[in-house]
Amino acid sequence: MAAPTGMIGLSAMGDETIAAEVAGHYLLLLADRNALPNHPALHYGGNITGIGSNAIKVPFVGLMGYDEMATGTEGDPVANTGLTDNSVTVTVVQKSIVREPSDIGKIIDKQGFLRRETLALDAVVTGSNVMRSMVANVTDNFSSVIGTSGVNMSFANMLDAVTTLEIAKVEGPYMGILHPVQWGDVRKDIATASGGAIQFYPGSQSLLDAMKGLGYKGSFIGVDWFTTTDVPTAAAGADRAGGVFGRGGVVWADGDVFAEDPINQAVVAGKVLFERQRVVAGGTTKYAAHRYIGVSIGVDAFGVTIATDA
Amino acid sequence: MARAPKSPAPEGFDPSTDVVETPDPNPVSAYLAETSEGSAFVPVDGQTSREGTPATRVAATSAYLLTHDPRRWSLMAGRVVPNFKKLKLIAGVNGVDEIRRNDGSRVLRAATARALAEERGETVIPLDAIPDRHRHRPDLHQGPPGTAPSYLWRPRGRPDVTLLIYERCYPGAETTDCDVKHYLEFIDHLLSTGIVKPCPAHTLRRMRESAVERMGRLEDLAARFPSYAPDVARTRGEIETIDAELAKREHPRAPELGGAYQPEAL
Repeated sequence: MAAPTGMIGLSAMGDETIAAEVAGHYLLLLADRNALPNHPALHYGGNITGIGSNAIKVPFVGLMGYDEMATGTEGDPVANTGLTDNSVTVTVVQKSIVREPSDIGKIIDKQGFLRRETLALDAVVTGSNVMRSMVANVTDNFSSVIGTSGVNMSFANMLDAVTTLEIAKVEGPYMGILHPVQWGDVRKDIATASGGAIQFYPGSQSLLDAMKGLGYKGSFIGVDWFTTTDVPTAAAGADRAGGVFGRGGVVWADGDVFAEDPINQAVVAGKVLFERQRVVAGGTTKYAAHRYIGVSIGVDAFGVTIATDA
Repeated sequence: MARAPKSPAPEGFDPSTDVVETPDPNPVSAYLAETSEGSAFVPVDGQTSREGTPATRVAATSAYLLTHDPRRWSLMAGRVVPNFKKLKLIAGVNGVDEIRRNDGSRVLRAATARALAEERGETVIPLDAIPDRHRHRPDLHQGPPGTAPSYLWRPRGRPDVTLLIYERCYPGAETTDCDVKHYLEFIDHLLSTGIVKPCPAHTLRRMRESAVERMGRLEDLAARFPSYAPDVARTRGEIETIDAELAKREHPRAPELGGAYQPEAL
């Protein structure tokens, strides 16, 4: 049936309509936004505030049962036992991100993602992400390696990693950081081909039912697992190299930040300095976030790298 | 543009109404002398259209130096190969620092990181330690003679990505894969020049034990799940590879340090 003559349809309302209107909400682009948990395996080396250097040395000493007693003879002095020690140096550096919205951008901003409060929240999340990224880039460097290049990660690799740490006398709790590819391979292995004790283990069912996505996966076989896409490649891109470590395997340090100008500065999440600067000539406002942090491998034997197919 | 005919006008031609188009053998704009010089321009949108080549979409990766830890070995394509570490040139990671020069440029300082790595027994692989036959090859991202060789490269349009020259990435794709043939040639070069020592016999024996244990487990799985049969075959190949490598060692069971010890009898 033809449209009636003189109908005022959408095509005739060019002066009354716009091509599109931005929705009142927004979706975030894909990114890894999960912060590492405050896990005991991540050893806090200290704060560089007021120490006179941006590098902090964390000592490791062989006490509390490291050495065994020697057999003594009545009347004869026993020789001294030396102190075995080691250390790791963590260098703290500045990590920053700056956003500079224009005045007109902020004026027309409909969803509010250019508001100061939103950018402050962005600063908090970004500041957490930087630590996750730095930790993921050290866990591939332990000398002990589990896995075979080009072969999918399996549940057996997980068990081997735990065994390696126990043989090295590493105290728990352990933390594991894997790439989602590695985690997915283990999940598939457990779901489709598991036998023995693992098939009746409630943790296996929990692993399959766990919330999907990146981040903390829960405790499984006594290890707290975390997945992130920051886990680097190995073997010329053939593999992904995550790691499992106990306390002392990864050491981190940071510096305190202070808000000297309470009108234009604020400390968010305790460690991120969020500040703004008006750029008068350009009609823009800069919002900057700074965090001061450093991460290093602690004692090499406290961790094991899992290098499996990417 | 109407032009007057160069040959006598045909019969009935009325110059006030008829237009004759004659092809100009040398088409040059009449405004050439007046306009500025320039060249053709294709906007970004045009470059990434069907006619253009999109940039690779691999995740950002920092620059790094390869380091060899004598305790880390792996198997690839029937060979025992070192499992390199990466000394990442990321400020704040493993002792890498960053300073700002007076001219405003920022420089990474990796001396502490290198020292810590060497203290752990690692060997830093020099950036130019690639085989001679890989140098100056465009397919391995090397420059012409006179330019410094490097085992690192950066894809065009992605200054935030650093890859090994044996790591291939593709336009518009997020994944990379390994150029196994040339990577093994790189390994051979490092072994032949002594930058990397061959895998110790005790490490090979431990790898073999692990492979045999894995073999047994896979055979059990393959008995229930036939899809594991290729894994059994692959692991069998790994054991053969390790055995072949062990056979090259002259005294596979000789201790590396120390001598016989006789405790005193009471």
